[in-house]
Amino acid sequence: MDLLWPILLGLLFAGYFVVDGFDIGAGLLLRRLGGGEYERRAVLTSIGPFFLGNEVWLVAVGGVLAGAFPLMKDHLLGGLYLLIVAGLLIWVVRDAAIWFRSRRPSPRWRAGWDAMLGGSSGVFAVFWGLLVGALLTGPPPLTDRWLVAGINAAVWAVVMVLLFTTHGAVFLAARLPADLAARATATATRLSRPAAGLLALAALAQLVVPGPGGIATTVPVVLLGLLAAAALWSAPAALAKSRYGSAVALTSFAAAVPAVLASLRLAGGLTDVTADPATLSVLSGFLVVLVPVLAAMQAWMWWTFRRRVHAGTVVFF
Amino acid sequence: MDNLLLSRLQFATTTSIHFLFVTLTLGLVLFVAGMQTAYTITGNPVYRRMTKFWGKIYVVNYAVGIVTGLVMEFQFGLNWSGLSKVTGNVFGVPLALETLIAFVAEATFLGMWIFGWDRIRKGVHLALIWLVALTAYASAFWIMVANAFLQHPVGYEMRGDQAYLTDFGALLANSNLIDTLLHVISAAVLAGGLFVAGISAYHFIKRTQEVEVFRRSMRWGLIAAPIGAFSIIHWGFLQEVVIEQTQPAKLAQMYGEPERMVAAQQAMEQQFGPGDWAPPGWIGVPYQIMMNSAFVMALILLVCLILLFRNWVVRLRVPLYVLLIMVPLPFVAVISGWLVREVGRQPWTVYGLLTTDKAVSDLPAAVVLISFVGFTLVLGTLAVVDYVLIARFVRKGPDDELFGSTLDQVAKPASAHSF
Ligand code: HDD
Ligand code: HEM
Ligand code: HEM
Repeated sequence: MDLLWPILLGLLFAGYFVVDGFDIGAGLLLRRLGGGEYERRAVLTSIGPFFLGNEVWLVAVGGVLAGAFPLMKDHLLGGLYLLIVAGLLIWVVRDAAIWFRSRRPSPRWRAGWDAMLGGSSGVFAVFWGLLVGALLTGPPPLTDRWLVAGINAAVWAVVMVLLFTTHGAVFLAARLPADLAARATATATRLSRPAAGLLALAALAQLVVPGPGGIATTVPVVLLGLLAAAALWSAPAALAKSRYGSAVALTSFAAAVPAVLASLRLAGGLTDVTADPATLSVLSGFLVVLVPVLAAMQAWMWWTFRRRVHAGTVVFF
Repeated sequence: MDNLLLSRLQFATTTSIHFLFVTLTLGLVLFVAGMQTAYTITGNPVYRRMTKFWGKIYVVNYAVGIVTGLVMEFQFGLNWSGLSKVTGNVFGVPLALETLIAFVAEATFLGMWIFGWDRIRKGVHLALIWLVALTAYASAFWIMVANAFLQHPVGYEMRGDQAYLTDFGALLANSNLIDTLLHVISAAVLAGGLFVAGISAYHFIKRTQEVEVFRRSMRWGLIAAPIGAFSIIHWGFLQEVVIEQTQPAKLAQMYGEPERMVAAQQAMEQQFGPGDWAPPGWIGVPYQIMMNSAFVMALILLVCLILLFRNWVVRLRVPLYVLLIMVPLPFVAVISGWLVREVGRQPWTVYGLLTTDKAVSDLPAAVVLISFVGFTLVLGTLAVVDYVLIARFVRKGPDDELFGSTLDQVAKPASAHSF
């Protein structure tokens, strides 16, 4: 019971990184991989059916924070006020770009929103990096609302851009029409080593960066980080053997890890900010039904649209 | 400008933008689902065209509903930290259930509906849009549970300076919930119905070739809208009864009755000590706008409903212009109504429990100014762009195939910028 809610929170956050990580990566790569309209629509259709279902993972994180950790929400959001506001705005712009771009035939309109999508996806990845970097050093102090910088946060910002781009490229390699997938594979192959190297460095750096929980959290944080780097490193090998499922699994694991690391660092402080047991028991009553239902819905969505995109696939975005 | 004022302005602006879009979402989804049902049952292709035409406007409208909603969810934590400090154990419950039950499900189903056109089996595809509708209303329900708690806190017990949840059922049975929820839902039905009727009227004004699509749409809209309008009046006045019992100062200001306000002020001074417990007097203005617009709409819609007989609505032509001009009215009324409800709750954030100046986060005004300007600019721009897009789709009529088009239909390989 005590552990249920922190674990759920961590899982949702990590799950969000995995699924919206595809979208952020694909957004970043839209203009690189998609020369013409056909290629761009193919990239957007690869993430399309899942896009809405992916970002609700973050909405769910917000919901669990509001219900089970009201004070944590306050602490997180208040302590990093401007960073969070910027992240929300970038999120909004990214979504608007996806929704609006194909709604008019004008090439200028579409090129404009494509640039917006690429740019906002990049900045969104930077935002997640800054947030992870800031959280790894502990819950932000409520007084210092400008604190986003610092070497650690900056390093993680670069890590997250590379990580999500590789993750997105691997996903696209598995989803794009066969004739377009080769370029995604090439991009993933080129990016995975630098991404993995930097991730390993950032993980090792946590040995000297002070964080809450002391050595008890430092050891798992560093080990998990190195494991994630190894997974990222080996994804191209799987792609080379056309084992797309394994490749996606490997980068998904890597994408989830930064969220897990931040959760590990914060977990010790969660007990002070948890809601009252009476509140949690009401929520748990719903949760017993909800979690299987929501999981089944997501599974249904992924199963329905599991096939590789082809010329006859329905488009929207 | 201080932090409190800026935070209030920010919340008012972002929720207002959110609700403008959500009202139409809630209204239109019923039409889209109803039309698709008619198509599935009768197989008549006109219903398919209707579903696609209104569905297209619905999803474009949805885009801004969803992105503004994302911002909303995080605002409580950002700007109203006192709310979670004092009432987090109670207020957080409906918010959490709202996101988990409603939004997660709604967005997942909507994505499947959009990409499932002509790919998923007909019956299942129809079920998807009904699930979207159901979950949209579920989200309205839970958010109103949260709001009703702010208006009239129940189901809790104070221990120290924190509220603890003691009776979850009481949250759902809140006297400030049921009439209000039905009032809000009626507003959505009215806004959706009038929108469908008014846009159909526009196409008749333009002498559309799509007579069947718009004749039937007009009928659907003109039957739904008066039902919405009369329910609104019914549940609107019922709300006054509840307000009189739970927030007498608000009612006094709504009707601009100074004697009542003096009495309410005295009663509150006895209960809460000296202070200015009066909500701003200007809420009487939006209240009058809301009420009078309701009377106007209800009357005109009733006349138009009667004129459906022998298609006089279209043949007389004047009603077409009237219907088109009335389309924005429900949206004006909706914002007016929320101003009454939310500003009329002042100076409380949680009525009788937590004042607004204690609820606001302790932030430097400059920081809040930045976020206020940022949210207003970005969300405001998106709202405008979205309305322009909706207007374009409306003008283009039903010939455009947004749903169910395939990759090779919208773009050709290797011919850059062909479509
Ligand atoms: C199409 C929109 C619309 C129309 C025509 C009306 N209303 Fe309304 N009204 C709303 C849309 C709305 C709303 C936006 O949905 C509100 C805001 C908060 C709420 O719960 O519903 C609201 C709030 C609201 C409140 C405030 C509740 C509170 O402060 O707790 C009252 C007393 C009424 N309404 C009463 C009426 C009456 C007597 C009407 C007609 C004679 C009427 N409304 C027409
Ligand atoms: C009476 C007021 C409100 C009603 C009836 C309402 C209803 C809705 C509906 C129907 C949607 C989905 C469709 C669309 O947006 O077009 C939505 C989206 C959303 N709303 Fe609201 N809302 C209200 C106010 C709020 C407030 C105050 C919050 C803040 C907690 C909020 C949070 C959200 C979120 C997070 C979303 C997007 C979630 C998603 O579907 O991914 N809403 N709202
Ligand atoms: C969607 C329609 C809504 C609109 C247009 C709206 C409008 C407003 C306005 C104008 C204010 C500022 C009042 C003032 O400070 O004088 C406000 C404040 C606030 N509203 Fe709403 N509101 C809406 C829905 C909701 C809902 C559904 C909730 C709760 C779940 C909510 C919670 C709050 C809170 C916490 C504040 C800030 C504290 C306060 O000023 O009391 N609002 N809203």
